[in-house]
Amino acid sequence: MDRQNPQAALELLILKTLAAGPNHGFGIALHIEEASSALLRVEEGSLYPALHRLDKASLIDAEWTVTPNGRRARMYHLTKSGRKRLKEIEESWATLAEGVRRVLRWA
Amino acid sequence: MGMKGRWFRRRPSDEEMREELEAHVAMRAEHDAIGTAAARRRLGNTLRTRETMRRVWVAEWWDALQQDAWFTWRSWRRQPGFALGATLVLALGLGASTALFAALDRVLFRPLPYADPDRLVSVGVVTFRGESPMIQGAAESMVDLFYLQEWDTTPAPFQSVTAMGALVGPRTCEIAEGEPEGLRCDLVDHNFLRVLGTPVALGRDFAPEDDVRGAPPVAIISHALWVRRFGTDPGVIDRPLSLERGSSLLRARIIGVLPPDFEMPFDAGDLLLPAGLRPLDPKAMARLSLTVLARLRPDVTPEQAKLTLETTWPEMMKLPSGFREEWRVRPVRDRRVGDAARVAWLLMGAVAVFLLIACVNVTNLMLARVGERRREFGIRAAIGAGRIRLARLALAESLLLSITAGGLGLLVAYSLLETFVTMAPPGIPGVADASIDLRVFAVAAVLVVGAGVAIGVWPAASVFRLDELQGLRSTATSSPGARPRLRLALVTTQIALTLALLGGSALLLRSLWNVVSVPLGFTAERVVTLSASLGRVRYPTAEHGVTFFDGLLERARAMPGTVSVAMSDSPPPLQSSGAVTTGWEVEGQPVEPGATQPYLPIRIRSVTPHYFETFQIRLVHGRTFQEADVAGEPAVAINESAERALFGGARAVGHRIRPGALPAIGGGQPAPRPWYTVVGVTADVRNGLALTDEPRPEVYFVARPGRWGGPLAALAAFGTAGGHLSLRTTASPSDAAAFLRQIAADLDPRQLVTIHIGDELLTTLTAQPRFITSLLTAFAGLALLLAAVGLYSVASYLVTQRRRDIGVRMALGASPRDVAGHVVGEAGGWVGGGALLGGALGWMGTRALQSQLYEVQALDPWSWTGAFLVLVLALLLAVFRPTYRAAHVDPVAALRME
Repeated sequence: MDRQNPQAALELLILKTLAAGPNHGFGIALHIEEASSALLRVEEGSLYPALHRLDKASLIDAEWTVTPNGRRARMYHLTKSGRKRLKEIEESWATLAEGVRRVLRWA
Repeated sequence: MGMKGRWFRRRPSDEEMREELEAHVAMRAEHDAIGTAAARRRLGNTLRTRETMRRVWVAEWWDALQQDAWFTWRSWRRQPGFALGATLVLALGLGASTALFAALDRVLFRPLPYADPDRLVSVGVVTFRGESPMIQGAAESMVDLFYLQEWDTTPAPFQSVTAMGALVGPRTCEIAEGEPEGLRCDLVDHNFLRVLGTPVALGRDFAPEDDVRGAPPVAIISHALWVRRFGTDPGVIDRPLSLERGSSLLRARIIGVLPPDFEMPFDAGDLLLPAGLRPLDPKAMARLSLTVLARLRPDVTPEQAKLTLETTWPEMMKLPSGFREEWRVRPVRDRRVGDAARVAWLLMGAVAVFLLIACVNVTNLMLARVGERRREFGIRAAIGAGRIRLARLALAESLLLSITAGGLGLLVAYSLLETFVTMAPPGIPGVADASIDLRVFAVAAVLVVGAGVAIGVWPAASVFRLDELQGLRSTATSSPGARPRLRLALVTTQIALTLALLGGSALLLRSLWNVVSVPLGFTAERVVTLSASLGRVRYPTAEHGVTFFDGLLERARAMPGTVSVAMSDSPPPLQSSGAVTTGWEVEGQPVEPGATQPYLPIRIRSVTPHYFETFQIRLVHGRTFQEADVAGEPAVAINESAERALFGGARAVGHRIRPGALPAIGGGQPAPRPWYTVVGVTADVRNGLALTDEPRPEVYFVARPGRWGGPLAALAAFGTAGGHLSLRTTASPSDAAAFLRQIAADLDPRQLVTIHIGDELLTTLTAQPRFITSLLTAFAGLALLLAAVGLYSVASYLVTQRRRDIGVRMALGASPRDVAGHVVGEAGGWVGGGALLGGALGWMGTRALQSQLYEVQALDPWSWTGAFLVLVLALLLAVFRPTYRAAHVDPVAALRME
């Protein structure tokens, strides 16, 4: 997940969401919207390609399960390397945010 | 599963992706309590999202390739005839090119197995008499005296020089222990392998002290001999090996084994021996002729080296007036390959033309298909397929076609190469080792891709010219043409190339006919010849040899079916043992005072009395030899050429002649030779290096095994030099051969003999023209077939296209004959154009062929007319069916069609 990737933020949010536990695509979208108090709204058209990119990169894994509502859904969960990657991105994101915050204070 | 990531990420199927998105839409609808349609809108373009998801897993090109391949496969299955035909045509072209490349790679391209082989040259002089070389086709050589005296320090243009023996006695030697085996042995200077840059694989190289005359003999053996004879035993080093070489027996210690890929520069070799040139004995009577190899300095070209040698040493030896020497410096490859390179290029050119024809043919078929598929492509274009996508599809189809054909072509190449190797004439170096290795495979791959692109370019380009609306509008019955003018141009090109190939093979066929119908002056159909070279170990004196050959003669005579038996030092048509004498005199015709003896090289052959009967050589005047001649007055028989040369128009029988006097040893008067009475004049027999060489003057001496047959040392008794026993039989020649072999084995089970049956030797001499002619004729025949198929397909297509026009004409009163005439006339126009172009191509191409032609001119009208007639006949057959169809168009049906 390189810095140039415009999807980087979305992928970070996906990984963070999955850190709380396995979830399906709709659940992830819902969680991001709720957690950000509807400040962020997931572009649903890019959510699924992003999930598949993470799956292909072995950061997350997927399997078909049946939800409590009795609906078949593709459930995603973090893999070991996904967890590691999340930690790395969180750190670099925090650094970036802190840097931006300081610059903004001086401006 | 679980925390551990999987090694292999399974790609979700399209169905799974669809289901995942559907689940999302359903959950969104439920959660937000909105309709499914609204939820779907919120997700956006599902089709595009799914495509983006797919792209995550599958690279676009791979996906597209799979689609194209699948599409192509389906279209081939619909039209198996096209797929099969195009694949076969292309497989033939690719297979033939690959096989020929594999066979000729060693002649033309593959570097010689030496270090920096391009800097390795052969250096020496060629002696000219007047304007032509004294010996036709002689390679450059150098006298040992010059090599050792003048070149004791390496001359300026070279980094290093080395020599190998040439023309020093028989090159063959024989293992004189255990199972007898004839070997090809070479004498080399001690630094030979170091100059070539080849280290030995096992043991050590020659050292200077091994090369001193009288040093204990040592030998380096080839890898093949090591495997064959010693089973790769490393203990072979320091093992002594008994060898018979000419009249000497030597016990050489094996000191080294050559690497497996080593090849002697000019001929195959089994064993290297030090030449023992040093110390030089300037007074020795016989001088050795050496083949000298040198490594050029980095900045020197062969031409510059030649110039340096010419200025430093204008002459190597003092020569009589009328003779001169010319220095020659040329890459080892050029000398090794010699005339074979020209033949190789000729064949490569022919196969390239053939491959081109195959490609043109397949392009034509593909264009025809583009026409047929116009509707389909039109629909695709109308529903949004990009033109680039369609062009790519056309190109993918051609590539797939050529890859399939390439695979099949490899099989073709394997079997063709086997045929080439067995058919190939001697003298094309390395053909026997030719195989389809990685290098050949790489070339084949390049050819496949090249052919794929070549046949796909036009069909792909024609996609851009499609008018989709027209494609949709037109009905299936009259599919409009895809670039008919281009297709006609292709057919014309194909006809032109075919005519060039046909003309070339017609010339070669005529030439081959001329070669094989040359009157030879003898017949060998029912003759079996046994050749044996007796070694000094078991046959130390002439008497021992006599026992062997006399025994052989006696038993051969007693064999059932024997008509006559004779021995000679060489059987026809091969040139005699190489002995050429000069300075012949006729008794009573005094040599003009002051004039040197006339230089008239006359070949001499030593034969027993029934030689002429055995080979059915016609007697012109006088008589043939009788048993009485063996011990009686010295008698000779001469051929008609010799009679003309020595006696002008006069009769020779009864006159006496003698060869030039022997040069005196150690000064003093030359020793004159005895006179010989000419008892008979015989018809000329082909005795040159090739059947097509003019017969040369020849004198036959009477010989008897074990005795001096003639006046010269070269005519030494068969007892030691070996000889050839020829037998004419009324029995089956192969039975006679088996009989002879048995007789020889009874007399001496350890003696190696070679047996030739009938015309075998002649066949060897005509192997090269046969090889070239059969290959070129095969290419031409196939090309003709392809041209006919191409013309057929275009003509039938045009007739279909013009059905309406034809119908209108017929409705207006044209007779079927008029229509047929029109079709044939039009086809005739293309054929005529192709023929003109082909004639011009052939005229340019066959100039390269002239050197391979015997008594036929490259512009021979008969050959070209013949080729043209064959072409026209084949093409007439090809347009027959389309013409028939045109003439039988039902005007009413044709007009009702639209």
